[in-house]
Amino acid sequence: MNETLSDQGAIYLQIAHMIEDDILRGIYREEEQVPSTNELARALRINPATAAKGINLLVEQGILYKRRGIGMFVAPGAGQAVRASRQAAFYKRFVCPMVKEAAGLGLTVQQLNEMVARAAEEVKQ
Amino acid sequence: MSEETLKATRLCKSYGKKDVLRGLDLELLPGCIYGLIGRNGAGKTTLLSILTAQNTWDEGNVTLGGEPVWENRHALDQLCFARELSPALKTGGANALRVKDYLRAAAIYYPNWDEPYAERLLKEFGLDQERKTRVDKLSKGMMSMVTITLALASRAPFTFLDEPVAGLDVVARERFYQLLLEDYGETGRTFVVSTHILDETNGVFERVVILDEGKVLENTPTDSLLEQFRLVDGPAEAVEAACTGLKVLSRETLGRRLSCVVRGTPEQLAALPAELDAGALNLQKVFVALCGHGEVLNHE
Amino acid sequence: MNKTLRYFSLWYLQAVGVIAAACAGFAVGALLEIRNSSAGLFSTYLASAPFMVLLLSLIMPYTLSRSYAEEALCFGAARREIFRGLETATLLYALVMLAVCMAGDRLAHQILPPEELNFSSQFTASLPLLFALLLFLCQLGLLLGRTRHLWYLVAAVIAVPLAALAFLIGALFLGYEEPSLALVQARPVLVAASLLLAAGTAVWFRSKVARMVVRR
Repeated sequence: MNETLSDQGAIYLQIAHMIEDDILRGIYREEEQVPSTNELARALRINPATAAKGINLLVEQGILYKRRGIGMFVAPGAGQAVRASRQAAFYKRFVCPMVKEAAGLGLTVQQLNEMVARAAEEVKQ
Repeated sequence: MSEETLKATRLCKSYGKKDVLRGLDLELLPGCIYGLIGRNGAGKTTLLSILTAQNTWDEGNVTLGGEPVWENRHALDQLCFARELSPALKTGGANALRVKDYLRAAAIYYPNWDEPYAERLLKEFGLDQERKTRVDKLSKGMMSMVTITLALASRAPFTFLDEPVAGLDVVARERFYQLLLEDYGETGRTFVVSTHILDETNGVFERVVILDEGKVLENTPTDSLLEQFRLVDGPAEAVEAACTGLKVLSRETLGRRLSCVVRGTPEQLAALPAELDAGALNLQKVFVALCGHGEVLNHE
Repeated sequence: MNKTLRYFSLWYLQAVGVIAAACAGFAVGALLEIRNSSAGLFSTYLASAPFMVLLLSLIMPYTLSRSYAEEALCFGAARREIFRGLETATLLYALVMLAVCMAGDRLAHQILPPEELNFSSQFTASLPLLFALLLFLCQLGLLLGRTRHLWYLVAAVIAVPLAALAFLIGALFLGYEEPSLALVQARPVLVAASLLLAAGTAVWFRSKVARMVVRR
């Protein structure tokens, strides 16, 4: 778990994001237990109420579910759900700014595509 | 712990000609950690001393669970005001007490006093060797630790700390927040921490109360407050256009570049163009934006 | 037990102990001098031990109780409770002081030849009680009422015994006979005036505190 929290913006969103990241990375698989509110609060040195808010957000979104008396678990299909929502956000968060920046620098769409292909090659290695 | 709410209604307090509190309304819920922030002279210490019936006030009232706090033994037993001990305060009197006597007095007065906890804290803070030292002869950091020990070991349902981390170094501050959260985890009592030092308070305060010019400016969950602010930065025309409909709290220009702190609903802020959105603010920046009174800074 | 009383007893007992020890020291010194059949410093002033007590009664309670009362407030005690605790502590303190004075007086009568005795021991034996009471009540009012006008009263209360004290100390140093006679005659008046002042102040402050407590 990434232990550094930014002091900018709402903490509970960062908590939710953090857990989603870990689900994507496979740190928590479906039907696995995630740390409890108190464990999170202790590890990150934050208010348990804030930790709970982050977890509850994920429960509302169906990413986590609660097993009474035991704790919070990754819901079945959570991995896919997180991936889908991240993919939807990807366009606005990464692609649009990249295209705008490229246009601002005078790069053509073709140059941009070449760069994307090159980067993909490097990632493979 | 307690289920009662501490409520201040239309509080007014002046010292001579100076109006410190001007019709202040505040409701403190049980089981919550509050950060109380405000500029020097905003009335934080005055407010805390009035809430705990240690100071008189001119108008308004303070109630705990509906009952007035003034001279009310039941209410006073649930309150603890850990004042800032400072070498600047008058010597003699309580500051002349030795650490051990100071804590012995606390044990007499606070009905929920936890002696083993106080001992643990003393050892942890390295105050064990300083038991016989007079409080006003301690270093500033150690004075803060005595205050913190008092506040935590009092186990009072409503505990108020005035500048508890003043004089503590970074490591000690971190430890304080840990101890605070641990105690909160165990007891679920209400803490109100009045502080100037806002970095590192990340996620500790569930709610934040901002005092400005004798009134409560904000009393909201910290996260909700932070979600309403953004820094918008870029070419002046684009920024101006993006800021329409949003409340602009401060503007800073550097040539043709404009930086604004804006406030709006999370939905409005989500609609900001990504290249102008310079990110969310931390609590300190939000506080400055709200209480720095929107100055226009022009660097030419 | 009233919390404030417990709190104050921690320190009053120390104060009483210190004063009692000082007086005992004086008595021992005087006894030793008598044994050596010489009238020395201690035996001369043994009968004035009440003076010392009076002096200390004027200074110590004022400084002690004011600051401790304020601190009790910081610990969240109700003013009513502080007042009651202080009142009780004061009375106990004054009674102990009175006992110490009278014991010193008795001792002086037993071990000193009659011509060494001065009136001051009898005169001052009753004063500590009265003035300790007065002063406590005065500065309590200062604490609880936080009024500035009280200074006039405090000044008057301190001035009267201080004037008497100065006179007596002067008399001791210069030779007691003539000044002391005048003071012996004035004694009933002085005592009556102190009693009146004490009672009046007590009533006044009680009502002030009562008003303060009821307000809000």
